[in-house]
Amino acid sequence: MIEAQVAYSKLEAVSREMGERFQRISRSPLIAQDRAFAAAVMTSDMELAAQHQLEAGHLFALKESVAALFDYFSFDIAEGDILLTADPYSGGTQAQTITMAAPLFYEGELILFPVLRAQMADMSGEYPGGFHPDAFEVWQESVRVTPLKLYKQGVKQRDLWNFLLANTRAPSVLEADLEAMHACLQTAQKQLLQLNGQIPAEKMENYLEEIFQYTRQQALRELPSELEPAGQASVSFQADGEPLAVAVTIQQIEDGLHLDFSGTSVQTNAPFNMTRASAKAYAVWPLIAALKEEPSLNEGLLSAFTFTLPEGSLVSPNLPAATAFSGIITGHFTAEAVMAACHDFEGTRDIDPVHGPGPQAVLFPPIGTEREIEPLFLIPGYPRSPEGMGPPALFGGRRLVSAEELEVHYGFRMTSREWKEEDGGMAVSIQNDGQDVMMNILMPEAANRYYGHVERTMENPFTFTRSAAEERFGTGEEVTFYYPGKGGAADESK
Amino acid sequence: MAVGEEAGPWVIGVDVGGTFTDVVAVDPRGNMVTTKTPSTPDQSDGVVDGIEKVAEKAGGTLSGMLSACPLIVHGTTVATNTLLEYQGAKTGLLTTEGFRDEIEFRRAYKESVFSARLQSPYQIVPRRFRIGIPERLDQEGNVLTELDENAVRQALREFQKEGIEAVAVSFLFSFVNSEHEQRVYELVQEEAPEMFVSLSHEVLPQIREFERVSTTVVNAYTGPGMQSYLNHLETRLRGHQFEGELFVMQSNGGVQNVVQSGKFAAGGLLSGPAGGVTAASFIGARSGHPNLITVDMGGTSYDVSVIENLEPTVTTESWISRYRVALPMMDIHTVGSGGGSIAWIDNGGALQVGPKSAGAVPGPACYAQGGTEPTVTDVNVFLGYINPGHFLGGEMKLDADLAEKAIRTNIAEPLGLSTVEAALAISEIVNNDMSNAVRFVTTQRGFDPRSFSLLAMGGAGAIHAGRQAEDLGINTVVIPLQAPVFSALGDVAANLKVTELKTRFERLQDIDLEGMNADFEKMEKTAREKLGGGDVVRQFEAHRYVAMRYAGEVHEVTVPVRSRTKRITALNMEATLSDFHALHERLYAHKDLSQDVEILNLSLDLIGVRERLPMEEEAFAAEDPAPAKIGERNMYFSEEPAIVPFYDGSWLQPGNLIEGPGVIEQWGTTIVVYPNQEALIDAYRNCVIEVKQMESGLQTGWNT
Repeated sequence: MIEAQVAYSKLEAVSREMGERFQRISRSPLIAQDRAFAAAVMTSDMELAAQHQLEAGHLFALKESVAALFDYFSFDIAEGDILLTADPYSGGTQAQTITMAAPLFYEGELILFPVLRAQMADMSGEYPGGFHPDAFEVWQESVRVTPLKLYKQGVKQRDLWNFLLANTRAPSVLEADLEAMHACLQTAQKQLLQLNGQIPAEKMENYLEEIFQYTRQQALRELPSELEPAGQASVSFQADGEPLAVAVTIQQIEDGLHLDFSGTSVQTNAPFNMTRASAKAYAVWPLIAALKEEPSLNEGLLSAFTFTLPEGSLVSPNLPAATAFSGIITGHFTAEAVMAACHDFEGTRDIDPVHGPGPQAVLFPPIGTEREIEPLFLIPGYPRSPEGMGPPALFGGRRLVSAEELEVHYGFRMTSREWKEEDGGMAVSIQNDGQDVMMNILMPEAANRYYGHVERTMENPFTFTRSAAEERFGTGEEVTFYYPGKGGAADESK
Repeated sequence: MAVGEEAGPWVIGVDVGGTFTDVVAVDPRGNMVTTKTPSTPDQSDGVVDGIEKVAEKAGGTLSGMLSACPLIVHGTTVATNTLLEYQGAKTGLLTTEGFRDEIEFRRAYKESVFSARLQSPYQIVPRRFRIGIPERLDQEGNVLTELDENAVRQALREFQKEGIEAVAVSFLFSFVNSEHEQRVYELVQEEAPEMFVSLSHEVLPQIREFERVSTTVVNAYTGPGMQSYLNHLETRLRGHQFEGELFVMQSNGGVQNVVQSGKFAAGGLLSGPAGGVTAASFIGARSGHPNLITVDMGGTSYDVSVIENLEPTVTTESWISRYRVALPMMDIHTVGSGGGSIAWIDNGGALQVGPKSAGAVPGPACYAQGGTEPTVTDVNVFLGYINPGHFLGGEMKLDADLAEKAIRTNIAEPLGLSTVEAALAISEIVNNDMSNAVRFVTTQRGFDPRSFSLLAMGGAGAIHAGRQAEDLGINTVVIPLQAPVFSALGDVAANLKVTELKTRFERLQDIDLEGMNADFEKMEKTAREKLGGGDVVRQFEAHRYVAMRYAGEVHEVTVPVRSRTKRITALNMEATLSDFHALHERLYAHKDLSQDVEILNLSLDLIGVRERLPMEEEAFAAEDPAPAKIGERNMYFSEEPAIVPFYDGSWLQPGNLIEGPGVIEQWGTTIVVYPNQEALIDAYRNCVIEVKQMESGLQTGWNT
């Protein structure tokens, strides 16, 4: 086990360094600031060897997207190929998220290889950024990029490259991020080749088996195992007024936890549907957050969970159901349902509930006015974590935008960002000092619980309590984002 | 050697650490006297004791040495301890109305994104002492809302009532226009002149309000204590006839006078480790190793830094005691692996080492102070690397039986291993953790560790360095003669240095060179006013840097400006741009010549170059180290024991060559020369170990 630990720490370092390098050189703030990406090393058996990620959604999707790529190309993969997909229905989660894999060969055999998965700034669809509150089919959110080879034996496929850049409103951003992904994968490939020279593939395989087993056992030791009878919960929320529910039953089985989502609402004509990979990730993430020690994200951890995801439901929709809000809204309620089902378990009792990121907006100039549009994904505050500090686990590794940078780079003046006196939540006010822009507002909504709201003041005052599309944010107007707190006034004593 | 005609006047370096205060005194002929003395609660006691000790070693008296001493450079933990222990001044914050919680939001940064249980850091400025003041500037520095002076006065009176000792002032866009902050300073002088004032445009005149407010608050919190300590120390030294200048080591690797060090205490955080890196650069220059990875293994931590072409790498992304300090500081990466790190078995049956440490009390089991858990030091004693009778030069006796028992009962027996297997496993894990830290630091900066030498310092660094070098593919390990007092050596070797910063946001294609030159000129003028030290400075050097990034990137890369004159020309900027692309590619394996580049910040280092520290080369003696051999003992490099010679380091001569395996024991440091390695004592009495490399490709010093 000791040799396996030492070898595995080197492998984890490859995925971590790949992620950190990517975060630093990417062009889009979605990656550099919001860390909406995952970096991983996969085995030749399509198992997840090590994954570095800060955002929940990628947990199963990276592996399942790679499986879709390998299924598609089957025996037609050669040294120097770079495979790419960006499709919720090819193992993915939501629109505009690319998975890029760099298969690696040694003496003709596929060995450990690197993969990156990241949200892009824009890949067409009806609105810049892909978040369309009224979408009912996936094409309104993004172009579907089913598996393709971006590089064939080391040669860039110019036609495909141009196709991708032709299907975005932000070609320079997308191109820079694609280049960055490719550069990081190449560096990781070199590191993995060196590691392969030190630890032969067969030996590494044995080490990984040991590590997977260890990770799985460690997770199971802490995860709810006293759910007798099975833990059950159903959480209701609303999609533009339509009531929806995520229901879950959690049961301990022979060697793991089984999460059964029977009873969850059928898929909807709104973008709240979660692909299977997405549903699994948001179901598992709060359980990981409850563990006392951060686990390694690998096959061993994933294998501790099995799922029943009824086909045609919110958690396993059929094409062409729209999915863009699956992470920021349905994922949030899925996590909340899982926590509610586990509520009597000692390990999770003190963590309640798991908030998502709360109200946010995508800002862009009026559509059709400019050839190149880089949407601004604005999450200026966060819901205050009921237990512990700072934002909740589902907020991921996002960084709040600096007020000074927002003004210098985008022309929006933040006039205030403070704890609210009434409930200890956060309120952030932003004034538009530049041209009129449009905004799509995204926020969770439930009949019996407050998850924040957005107010627009000045010329067109309005209070948004649910998601909205193409709202004008005019020159001189102010928009305030309100986030829920722990309850009670902000703490003056600490 | 006596103080008087043959030796002196002495320049003195004093570094106060957690356990010991180290002192180095050097005279113009290169005579060097060193000592270590226990650190004391009032750090000035240890400083004076230490100087007295070196004075006696040099055959003189405390007053005799101090009266002729032109310069004392001091590395102190006062500011660092104040922040680590949260024992700073009662601090208030005045900030732009609507933004008083930024210090608590931390831009949503959490040390562990996963953890739902992580608690907030201790608030060094509680919310009730954070007051928003009506005022507002825009991004160009135009006043949108006038400063409400009545609100400032009222806030200051509230602070007085609450007993606030230090006030931090941080307004939005003060780095563009500092008038409002300067006016608050005047109001403080009128209302509460006794308060320490920390102004954000002076501490960190750069864009990003959280980074600026956090650094300004830390400066206010640590400033009064630092100021009071330095005044106290200076008074004591003056009382012993000291008439020279007292400087303080800074975290940017330079030194500053007492006035500036008190005013900008945040610059003195982590000054001890910075002294060590400065010394490494000095030793690297003398011994022909311009590219170094320095590793410092102490009792609880392992610090790694990188020196490229004798220039230590610098970061502005430090977190200290969970607070952001965005000043340019030597980039020292710390992991929790030290001699006191405890080995344990987790509930899944895996062997783990650290981060929990046995600390000084009870300490490792072999200290016989009640500790029962096995530590890395216990492993080193059990494997025979540390001589239990010669720890700290024999000042402390270790109990090898207790070390063996701790490893056997806590690790070996539960895992079904022999004690030797268990000890080797612990050693392997801790070596691997440390190697991973080195890899992290080097690859993150685009370096290949194989093109560096490893310089080991700290009590246990030289025990493990040989193994790490093998793992990382590094050919050479350097253990400096002065390793036990290395930070103090850095204090005497360091130049004076002031770093000035300014945010200047523009696209390179629209660059206003006149404006940039004017900014740099102003920064240099300010730096000269701050630098002082006229009596000890031989010449001034100004180094200019531009923080650049591809348009839209969030992270910037700091690039030295290529200019031989004071004025930067278009040609100079072209060359600098070319360096930017190259550096970006080295750091991130990616460059894009066609993409727009933008400038975010300017920085200028003004360096007051001091006389070079003299060090005499010694002629090589015979190769044979036998005269220094003091015995042989059993050691374990594998499961089979080997009989290994050990040497007294103080008897080894330049030119002596030790073929591994072997151990060199000297005060405060044990050097292990592993099998297939050779150690040479060089002309400066540094120990230089050459490491036999395994077959090509077997090391994992990532070649990126």
